[in-house]
Amino acid sequence: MLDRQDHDRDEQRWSTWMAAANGGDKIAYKQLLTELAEVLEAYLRHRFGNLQLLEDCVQESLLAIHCARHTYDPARPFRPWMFTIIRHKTIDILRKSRRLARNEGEVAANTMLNQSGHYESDPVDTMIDGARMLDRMEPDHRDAVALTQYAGYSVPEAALRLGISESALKARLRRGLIAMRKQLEAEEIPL
Amino acid sequence: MNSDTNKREQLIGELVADLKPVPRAGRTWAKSVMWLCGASIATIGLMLFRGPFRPGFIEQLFAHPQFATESAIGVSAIMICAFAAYHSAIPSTDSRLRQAALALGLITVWMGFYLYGLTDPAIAPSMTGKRDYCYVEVFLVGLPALVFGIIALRNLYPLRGAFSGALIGLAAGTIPALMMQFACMYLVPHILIYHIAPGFSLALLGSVCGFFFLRPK
Repeated sequence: MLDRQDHDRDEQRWSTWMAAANGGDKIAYKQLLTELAEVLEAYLRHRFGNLQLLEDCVQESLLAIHCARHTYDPARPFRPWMFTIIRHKTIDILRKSRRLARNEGEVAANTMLNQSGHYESDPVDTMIDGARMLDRMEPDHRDAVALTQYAGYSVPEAALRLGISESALKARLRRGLIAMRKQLEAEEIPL
Repeated sequence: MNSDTNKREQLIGELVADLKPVPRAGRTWAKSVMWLCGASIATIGLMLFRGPFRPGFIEQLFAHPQFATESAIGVSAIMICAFAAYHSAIPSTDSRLRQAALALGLITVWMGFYLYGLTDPAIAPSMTGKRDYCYVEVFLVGLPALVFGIIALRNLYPLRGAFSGALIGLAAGTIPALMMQFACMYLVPHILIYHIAPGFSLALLGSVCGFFFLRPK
């Protein structure tokens, strides 16, 4: 946990760098983005664990910060501005991922079939270690999200492993991702 | 993971290379005031182009405090609505309810005056100044302000496009809706159906436009 002094120092530093970047200072901007990328990764990993989309979320958020930089007002705090963008981007990516899951029919390259033609039965909990957002999810939804979004299973493979139809898995996955999005929307932004 | 790190570094490099100085973000209220001035001038100009305002409306404003008060509340509601629309297009932690509460509250009070006017009108009901197709005029005259508003919000960073679009649509629609009280006949049921309702319909249109055109890049 950051103590108050670290928090204030970060706020001051990021705010100064962003103001300098908006004036065209490339060195300050590089420092800012490099530092923010690490902060973003920690923020997302704390919530989602080793989600496959994590790196996408980090990069999309950096891109969004770049596109929105002209709306940053140095007279106002940097953190709420930045975390609002990050949260929105993450929710957006989860939505897209849900849409993708709905349309997915292909077989993932990384199948988990073992020699005898059966799926290995790694406990789902080991795949989602640290994914705080999954803790409060219905077990059925959680398994669907964990297998497809964390373990790299395709929809047909995940359905086979859980012993349910593909359409049932897609429905569970959709509900699971909606639950994740709602949790993120309801969560207070770390100010 | 290593390839992810490389891609991230590459992205940061590209973003830094793309960096150009941006003008300091102006105050939201200043931008909304500029839009309001432009929208009001355009609205009055277009309405005058179609026909003169009702004779004696200025005297009525001074002679009837209720008429002056309801008009002043209407002006305040429009201003706050425009400000809320611009404010909603800047990323912030404020909830939608918080951003729109004052604007919607003032609109409600403004409508309250008209509802009260059904039993006790602010000025004597009259057909003086009647304009044909005033409901179409309200809608059409509000459109340019809506279009410019959507363009202006697009240049910011609206994260909730439909919401920002609805607010700017509401502001754009209520300007001619209010002006029509000075230009057209004063009869409260007519005002509610032919002036206010078409003005509010621009909020719906704004919401649809916002949904499609105010998506963050």
